[in-house]
Amino acid sequence: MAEIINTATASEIFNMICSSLDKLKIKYEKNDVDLSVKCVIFGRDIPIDTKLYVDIENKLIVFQSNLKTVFPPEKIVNAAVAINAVNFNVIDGAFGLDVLNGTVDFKLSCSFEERQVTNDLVAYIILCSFNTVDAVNDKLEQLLKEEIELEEFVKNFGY
Amino acid sequence: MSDEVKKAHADEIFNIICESLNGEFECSTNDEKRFIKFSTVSADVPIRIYISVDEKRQVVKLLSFMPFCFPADRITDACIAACSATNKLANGCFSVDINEGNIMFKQTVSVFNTSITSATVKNLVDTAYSAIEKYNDKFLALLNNELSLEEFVSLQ
Repeated sequence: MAEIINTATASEIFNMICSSLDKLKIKYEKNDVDLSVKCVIFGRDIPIDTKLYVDIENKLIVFQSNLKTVFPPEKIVNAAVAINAVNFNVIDGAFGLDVLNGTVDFKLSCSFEERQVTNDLVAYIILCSFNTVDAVNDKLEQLLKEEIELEEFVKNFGY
Repeated sequence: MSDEVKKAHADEIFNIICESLNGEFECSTNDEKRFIKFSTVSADVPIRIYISVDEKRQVVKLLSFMPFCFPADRITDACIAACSATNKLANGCFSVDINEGNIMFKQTVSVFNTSITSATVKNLVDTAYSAIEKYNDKFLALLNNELSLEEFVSLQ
């Protein structure tokens, strides 16, 4: 039976984030002031720099990862097409491309307004995000380095 | 979670969604596919919203397709615009079907081992509506060359 906290407070949710990371044996640095943790999650290839935090203003639990891949101006159009191909098919969360500076991030936000928050829900946020980033980050890096063509990239995501 | 438990939970979640929306909107539902759709009146472009419960993944998905498509030679503009708009959202994302030129808004709510209330459903619809309402006319203006890509990207 899942542990259920009705209308959990931000600090209760923050504790659930820490507890979930402990269970997953992921080391992290925590900041009790802004209710955030930073960690590096090791996947198949590229380590995933992660920030998990409680956005009190918008009542969101947020997983954010800034990818190391940065697209130069001449490759922004290709990057935008690639990111859209991924986002159109991804189950939850979204990759973001800053079209002005070429940086890429992934963000999965989960509202905790007027809903139950459970340890299972927090674990879902972490694992779903991690699996999504892990499946895509190496392919974006290959696209940047021209090791794969855009057409080949999008075929990986249902096109 | 067994398949039977997943199915029962998905049914329960779908019932909560239907009960929450049926009084608010004129909805069309498909109980077998756990799918509900309705339209809302916006200031400019009509908004059609589809909500479904994915039994296997235990998520609620809200999708909304804009009622226009970008032609093949403008899809890259649409992709850049969708990235720019998504970057400014706290939740949800805009994405382009790069084959068809459709623009979709998507927001997902996990219900794995947890339930939702009518307030959760209302919050989901309200958040999506705000995001779509803010950008749908801008995407249309971009398509009609009434707004440049640079102007779209610089929107706050």
